Amino acid sequence: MNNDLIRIDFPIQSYIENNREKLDESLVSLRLMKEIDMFLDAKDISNKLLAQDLGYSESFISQLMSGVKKINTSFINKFENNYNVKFRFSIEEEKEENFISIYSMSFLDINLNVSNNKNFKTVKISPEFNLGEYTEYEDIDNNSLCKNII
Amino acid sequence: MENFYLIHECSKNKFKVYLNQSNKDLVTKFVDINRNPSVLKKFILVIEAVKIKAHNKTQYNWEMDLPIGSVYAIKVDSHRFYTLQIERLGCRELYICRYGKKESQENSKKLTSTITAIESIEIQKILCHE
Repeated sequence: MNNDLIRIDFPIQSYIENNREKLDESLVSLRLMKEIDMFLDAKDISNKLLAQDLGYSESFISQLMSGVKKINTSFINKFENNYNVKFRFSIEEEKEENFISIYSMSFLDINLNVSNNKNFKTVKISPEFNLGEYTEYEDIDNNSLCKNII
Repeated sequence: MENFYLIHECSKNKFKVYLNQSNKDLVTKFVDINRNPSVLKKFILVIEAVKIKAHNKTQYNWEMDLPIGSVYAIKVDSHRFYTLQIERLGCRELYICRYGKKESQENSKKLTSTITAIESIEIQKILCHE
C-alpha cells in the first residue's frame, strides 16, 4: 500500500460529456437487457444457455449484456418465441423524484408523480405541520381538502 | 487510511464514484484501461448503467454485504474492480477499492481475500475531479 502515490486524473467526466448520445443509446439497450437478465436469473438460465437457445454465440450475448452491441427486434422476437413470453412496452413521462420544498411558512410544492400533465401541486398546509405525519392540507389546484402523510 | 478521489458525480441521480488511488494495482490497471478506448467505453458503460440502475450481473455483480454497504465487482472483460457501494439518504456512492483478475485456469488466485479485505479499509475522501 502506498499513500504517497501521485494522483492520476481519469477522464471519466469528460468522456461521458463528449459521448453522451452514444452512451444513451447503449443505455436504452441495457434497460431492456436488465429485464432479460432478471428473467434469466429467475429461470436459472445462464448466458451460455441463452446463446444456445437463441442460436447466437456466447460472445454476442456478452456484448449485449455489456452494452457494446445493442438489442434489436430480431433478438426480441427470438427471445419471445423461444421462451413463450411477451415484452411489454409503455411510454412514460420522465419523472422527477418525489420532493417537498417549503417556500413559505404555509405553502409547499409537492411533486406527486401521479399526473401525466401536471406534476406539481401547490398546497396550503397548517404552519405547525411535522414532516412524516398525517397532515391536513388544502389542494389549491383542485380546491379540495386532503389528508395525507407529508 | 486510503485516499479515494472523486472521479465522477451526477447530482441528478445522486451518484458519486470514488477511486482508491492508494492502491498501486488498481491505479496501474486504471492507467491501462484509460489507454484502451474499447475497454474504457465498457467501463464507463458499467458506471452509467449503475447510475440509472440499468446494470446487469454481467457488468456489476454482487459479491458480499458488509455492515456499511455491499461489495460489487465491476466486470470489464477479464478485469474485476471490486467496489464498495454505500447508500445513504438516497445517495449512492461507489468506492472502487481493489483490482482482481477474473478467476480462471490461468489465474487460480482466490479472490475471496481481496474482497473481504475491503471491510478493513479506512476511507479518506478527497473531493475533487477533473
